Amino acid sequence: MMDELTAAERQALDALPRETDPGQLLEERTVRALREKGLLATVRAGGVESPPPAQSPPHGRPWWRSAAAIAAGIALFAGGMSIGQVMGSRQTAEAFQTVFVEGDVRLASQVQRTGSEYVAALEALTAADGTVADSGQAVEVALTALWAAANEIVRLAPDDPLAARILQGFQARAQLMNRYEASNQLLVEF
Amino acid sequence: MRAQAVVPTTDRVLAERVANAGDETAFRELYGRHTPRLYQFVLRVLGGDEAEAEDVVQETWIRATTNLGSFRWEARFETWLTGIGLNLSRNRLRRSGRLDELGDEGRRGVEPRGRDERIDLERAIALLPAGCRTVLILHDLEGFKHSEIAEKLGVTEGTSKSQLWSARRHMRQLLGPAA
Repeated sequence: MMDELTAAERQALDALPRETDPGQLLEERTVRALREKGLLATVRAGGVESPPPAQSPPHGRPWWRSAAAIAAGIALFAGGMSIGQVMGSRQTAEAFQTVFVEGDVRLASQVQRTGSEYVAALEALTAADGTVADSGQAVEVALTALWAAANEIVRLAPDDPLAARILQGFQARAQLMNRYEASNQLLVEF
Repeated sequence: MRAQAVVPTTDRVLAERVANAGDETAFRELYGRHTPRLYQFVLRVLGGDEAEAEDVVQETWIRATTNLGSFRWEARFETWLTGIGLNLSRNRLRRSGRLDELGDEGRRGVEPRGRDERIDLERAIALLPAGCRTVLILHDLEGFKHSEIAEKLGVTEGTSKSQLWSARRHMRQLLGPAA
């Protein structure tokens, strides 16, 4: 049943391009979509800027800044979660409740479970001594997660004051930090 | 005097930066490496619709980025990405009624051409029925084996072989002397 390709057919197929550049617009569109979904952290122009991507903390960065960031992260996130879950009057809780009412219990419980794991991980990091490798990276990742969570809460409940304050905090933080300029290459010295 | 050698960052390192920290720079590097091939592949599977291919490429990256944490790196990143793009393309073809179940459409044939109408190979591939076109692209252009195609498409190897046979037959009809 299988008739093989002739040499000419094979050559013609091999000559077809395997790559085509779709243009810069698609890249920008895709990056924007990923940002909106909280999957990418950096906003390049204006607006709220999320924490810079994970990397080693700059030399000379005082340890207490990391500790303070962790503490703030725990306080803000744990506060938001516990208040949202315990106090029925909170809009965040209402938003979660909506998910329950609509029947997707799995999604809501996943949010709860993820939030608990997030807080537990931060607590474990805080309990560790200051020599933990990559603690700076862990802090950045934790802050990115917090920022993404706050963004999603704002989408669920646009008037939620706590989520808004978290984002304002990030905005103030971003203004204090130098813009992250990552190298996408590893430099090896020899 | 010290010299510096530049070692390109691997896909895995870049992907981990994206997954762990939402690193936009790392994402753009990954995107730049793999999108031209992904786009060309999706464009062919969809029969040459550029706007639709762009939508699928965007959706592919969103799916991939969302699921980066679950990718086990047992296959190449590019292969994984292509698989996502393939599935999304086929979903679109199916939803729009352009993808019949594999096994039947190969017998449906292609639109007859008018006298003196000459088309090139790319156009001929685009004119093939979507199902057998996909098999031809995977086998004759992307180099997948029938066992791999069968796994990707959820069909038997026999179906993959018969679809390839149909695709080549249709392609020769389209490229041959006009009636």
